[in-house]
Amino acid sequence: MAEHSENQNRVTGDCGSPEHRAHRRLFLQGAMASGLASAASFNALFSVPALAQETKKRGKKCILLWLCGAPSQFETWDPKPGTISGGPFAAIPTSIPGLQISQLMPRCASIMDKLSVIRSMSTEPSEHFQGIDVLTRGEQPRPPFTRPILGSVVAEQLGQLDSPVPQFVLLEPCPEGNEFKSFKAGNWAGWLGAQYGPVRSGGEFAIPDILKPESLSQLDHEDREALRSFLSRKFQNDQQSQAAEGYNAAFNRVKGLMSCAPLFDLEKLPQADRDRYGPGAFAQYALQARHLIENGSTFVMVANGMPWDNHVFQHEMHQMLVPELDNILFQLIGDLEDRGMLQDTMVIAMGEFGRTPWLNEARGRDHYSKAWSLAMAGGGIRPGVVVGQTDPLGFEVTENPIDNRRLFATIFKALGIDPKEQYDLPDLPTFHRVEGNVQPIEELLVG
Amino acid sequence: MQKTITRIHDFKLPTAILGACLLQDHRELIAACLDGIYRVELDTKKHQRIGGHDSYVSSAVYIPEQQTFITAGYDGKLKWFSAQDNSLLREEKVHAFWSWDMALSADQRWLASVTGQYLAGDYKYSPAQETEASVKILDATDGKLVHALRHVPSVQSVAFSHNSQWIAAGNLMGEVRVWDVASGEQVGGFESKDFTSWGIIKSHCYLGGIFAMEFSPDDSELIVCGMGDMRDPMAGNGKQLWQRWNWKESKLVAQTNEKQAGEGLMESLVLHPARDSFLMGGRLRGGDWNAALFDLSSGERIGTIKSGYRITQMLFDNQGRLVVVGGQGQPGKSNEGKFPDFGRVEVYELKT
Amino acid sequence: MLKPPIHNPIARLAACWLFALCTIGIARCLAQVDAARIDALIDAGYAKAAVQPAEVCSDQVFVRRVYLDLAGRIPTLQERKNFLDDPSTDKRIELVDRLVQSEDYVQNFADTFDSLLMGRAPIGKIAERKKLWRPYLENVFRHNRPWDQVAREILLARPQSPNQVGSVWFLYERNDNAQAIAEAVAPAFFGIRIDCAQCHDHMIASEIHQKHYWGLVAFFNRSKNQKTNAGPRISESAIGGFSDFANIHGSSYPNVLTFYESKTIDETRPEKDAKQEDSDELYLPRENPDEPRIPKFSRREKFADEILTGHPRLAHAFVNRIWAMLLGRGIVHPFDQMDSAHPASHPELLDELAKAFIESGYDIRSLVRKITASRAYQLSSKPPAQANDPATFAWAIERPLTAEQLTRSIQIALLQQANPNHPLLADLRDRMPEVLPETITTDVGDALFLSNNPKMDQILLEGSKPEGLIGKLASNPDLKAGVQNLFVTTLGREPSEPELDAVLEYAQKRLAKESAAEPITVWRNIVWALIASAEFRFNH
Repeated sequence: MAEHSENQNRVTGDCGSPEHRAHRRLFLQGAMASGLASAASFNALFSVPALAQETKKRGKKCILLWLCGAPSQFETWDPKPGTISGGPFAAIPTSIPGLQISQLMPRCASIMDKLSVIRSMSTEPSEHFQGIDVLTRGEQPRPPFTRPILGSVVAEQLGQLDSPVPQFVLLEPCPEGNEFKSFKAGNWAGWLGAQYGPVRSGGEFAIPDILKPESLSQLDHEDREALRSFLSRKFQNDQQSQAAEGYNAAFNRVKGLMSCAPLFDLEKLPQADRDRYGPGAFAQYALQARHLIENGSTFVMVANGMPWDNHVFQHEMHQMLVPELDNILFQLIGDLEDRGMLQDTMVIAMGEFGRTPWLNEARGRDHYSKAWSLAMAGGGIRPGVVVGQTDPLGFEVTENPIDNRRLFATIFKALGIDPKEQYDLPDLPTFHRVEGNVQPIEELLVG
Repeated sequence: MQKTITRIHDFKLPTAILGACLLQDHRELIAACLDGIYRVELDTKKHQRIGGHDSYVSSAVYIPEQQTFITAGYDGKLKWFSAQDNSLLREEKVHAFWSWDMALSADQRWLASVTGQYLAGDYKYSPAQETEASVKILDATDGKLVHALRHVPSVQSVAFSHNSQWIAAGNLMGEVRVWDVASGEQVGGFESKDFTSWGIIKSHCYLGGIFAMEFSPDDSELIVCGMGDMRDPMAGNGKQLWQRWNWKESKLVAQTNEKQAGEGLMESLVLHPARDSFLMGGRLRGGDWNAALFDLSSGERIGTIKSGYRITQMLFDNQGRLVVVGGQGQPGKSNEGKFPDFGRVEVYELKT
Repeated sequence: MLKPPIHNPIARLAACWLFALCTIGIARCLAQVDAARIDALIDAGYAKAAVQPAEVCSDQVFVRRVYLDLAGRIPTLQERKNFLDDPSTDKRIELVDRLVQSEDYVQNFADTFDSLLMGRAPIGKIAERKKLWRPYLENVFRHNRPWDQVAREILLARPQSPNQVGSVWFLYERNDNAQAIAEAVAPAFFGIRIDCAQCHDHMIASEIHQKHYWGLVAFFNRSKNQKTNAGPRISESAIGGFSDFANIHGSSYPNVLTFYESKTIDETRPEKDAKQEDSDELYLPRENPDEPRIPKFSRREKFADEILTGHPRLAHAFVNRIWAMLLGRGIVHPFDQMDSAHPASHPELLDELAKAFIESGYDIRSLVRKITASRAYQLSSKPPAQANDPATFAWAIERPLTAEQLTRSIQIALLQQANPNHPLLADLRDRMPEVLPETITTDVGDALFLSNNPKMDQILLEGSKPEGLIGKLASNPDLKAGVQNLFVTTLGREPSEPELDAVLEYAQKRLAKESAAEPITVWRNIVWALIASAEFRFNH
């Protein structure tokens, strides 16, 4: 809900976050075989292989602008001008005749024919941690199993694991964010395994310790890691250690990450681009997301703490946040289009739910999951579509309610990933990429 | 000396009231509401909607000499109405963004309205420079622009000095600028860091600022109010805070005695007609009052109100009674499509 | 009549264990009876979940585990040898008894409780905390002070003797912020988190109400930091602290003195608008001019006397936390969210341990001893086939070393001694701040740190001195003996054949003339590979 004080010490998912360890173990036994094989052919480890020439296969990619805290649908995609719910901002016409969005989004209004909006999102959780969980994983938790987050699934399905460029990146300029902070400390990759977790970059853009110590030659650096990896993997296999598996997966990324340190250096991007995206941290990172996608990342999630949770000062905050988002979407979609990348790159802008059609006494809007909106573009999403609608005051969905499952089925389908596929998890209960055999939203899919 | 403040009269309007003024005989009120402009008979509680803006109506002032009242709204417009027949006399689009606040000079010659949209100005979300003049002074009679003055958005409160010589405006970042009304020259100002929070828990952004201000009786000082620092700007739990500044020397003179303040945004200030005390009101987030009377010389709290709703404006009528307006939270449930009224008007008596 | 053969695998296993117990000999009655009871209840859980527990771990695994848990570091070569060579059948519990009396135990538990009770100190605050709080905590564990008394001292914050002065720091560091105090008190002493109840009754654990939050705040909102001639103190006013809290719907309620699962303390609330006058009448006569005066009606004292004393959660929370420290997860998990949303995996066990803890006079060492003597503590960390729920405690759950444990253990491995304030610690604490994490995750940043951080490089240089591990290895012409020694020193075990071969092969290749590498460099790489290995990083 509204306010939670910071916990400096340790992670607390106040929902009782799922137990992450269990059951992975059995699944792991499949993965063990390769570890053992590498132990047998240990010598190969010391001859440093030339990096496999990256095959830039034409794969789909995704940028998720994670609007954490939950933006208001009324001040974005589903304005209700002149009503008691509508708030002080007007609605403006868009490039799609008859369609209006908030006056705070004039740039998106001008390219509405390239965007699509779902106005009939209707989901269950209305608390942040649970909402973030469901809207990033696509499904309610079922402890002790941990479903991988959207980025992990897309990276696993579409990413190139041999690429030194991280396939799943979380850009988060603000390390804070209450429940989101707790969520960030949890297990993102779930049963797919830690190697599909995100590489996180934040703060002042730098990834610490990304350069090797000067005292060490490149050869020594690589050799000692090869030896470490051998011993550590052996331990992982012998002990069936899941902690070691995550640990080793993290080390596996070190070399690749070190080689693409320049990709994370925002200073290297053209100043004109930086100016165009806007000065705020979220905008700068959205630009970096584009840069990473251009250079081989598969899924980039951009977050900025939990700024949208405006239980107080709703309009005073949204007047700043929405225009920033408006410009980011406009620039991003324009850039991707200019580079011929839009049809393969999906951009999603959403939070974990919406906000109440009424204002509380503190001039804020509270959490509302019954009827809310989000926007998508590119990457197999048909442009210019508005899915569903809400009643005149925005209290209820009146047409085509969309829940988290149908949303995820649509995202997967558009990206060319089978939503119905069953996970290959021996001895685990049956899990599908999307449960419930739901249908994607056909009208949103490019034919 | 402690005063008891007793409610003697109360009723509701359909939606929350953001500002108000009393008409000639002080038995009628113009209420600036979320859904329009209401003319209200205080004693009979009769009210009628006499017009509106294209957004929330944010303030209202009355010019006795001309028998007109003027409203300002989040549509950036000012509207002049005849107090005789409520007819619309004039309307001016003054700002591209909201009119956050409007004030009338004591000599009834000048109107001032302040605007400004908070937009990201840098990596840490300091506000961007203004794209339109944040403070406008108009001729109260014909609405002609007299001065367009620069400030940093969002400028959220404005007040004229009692001698009508100066005008002050305060913004999101706690900066107050004071100008000479005649020349439009800036003649003073100050910056208080105490009303603004930068998010360190939820996110990085600025929230807060100065929400109301009044000149001291001799005009040498400004009393400003809002809410103290919050670690989490979304918590709304800053101290109920006023400060008195010598605006010529940029010096803080006095402020809320911390022991006497609870938590919540304060957005209304009014001097007592006796000019020995002032009232500050707003929202109760924690503590036991949401409006309180403060002795002007000692700064001590000498009376409190716990209204049970957010107070947005307080006015003294010509009999020394206090008229308080504001609103509760907007109801989330309707009764067959009709929402319960949530605008509030109350009248209080102050007794020693 | 012939006894039927035992078919049930669990029963068979239990029988074996019973037999093992008998052969070990039931020497120390009290502790072993308690450990046996723990075993019985944990066994019942295995039967219910139809899992077979892992085997009991070997002595060399045990000695590393118990040193890390109790002494906060890996054992030195000598300590390890002493234990392995000890012929006593009771040597495990004897080692525990020695360790809980050691200064290492004091430091390790003080580290952990400092983090759990105060959070990681912000840079710049560490020194302040060290002056008062740290010695107090150390004293608690050095003298095995009863936990209920410690809790009372911390929350009453009126030191009665010089060795109690640090008790004020828990409140003092929170700087008159009664909400921060309440949010810290609830998990630290009652094992619940109430932060969510600030604005509304807890959404998930509905028994935690907003009035509990604001009630707990009220007990501390008359308290104020005061600098006295005797040092920092927490004064308390006899008046004020009455307020209302508003819920999200705008209704407001008075903040009466109450708390979760407790009564409400009677207190006269002044009439609305009535001004309370502070006067000497309201305070006890001052005994010591240096100490703050004490109100006749002291909210803190009421809390200590009537809420804390005998509160059912106090023992439960502590027992559950120690269990989590030693077993890798609480009987209620997470260990500080003991609410209805987080049911205990072994409720009976938790109750009995708590009861025994109370009966023992809140004796921390005896609790630690009891748990470490249990079979659940001593199981192998390799999960048995088909076991998948860590809440069954069917295998020893792996735990990452804290920054303190890791810094000390690296030093023990390299130099056989540890400087608790090694410069690596500050950086490592920053990078890996967690203590008792709910889940184990390794960030790429952790891997980058261990691979590239200059302070990691520095500590390897320290180990390259002639008396250090790397220095000794580099001067030893017997490569094979060197590698064997290396494994024992760092991992507490001999290398397996493939491991020996691999390391030897690397060493030989790099030490060969044509490679022209310095032996010290080669061995530094090898030592790094071991201390940066998963096996070193985790307690298992």
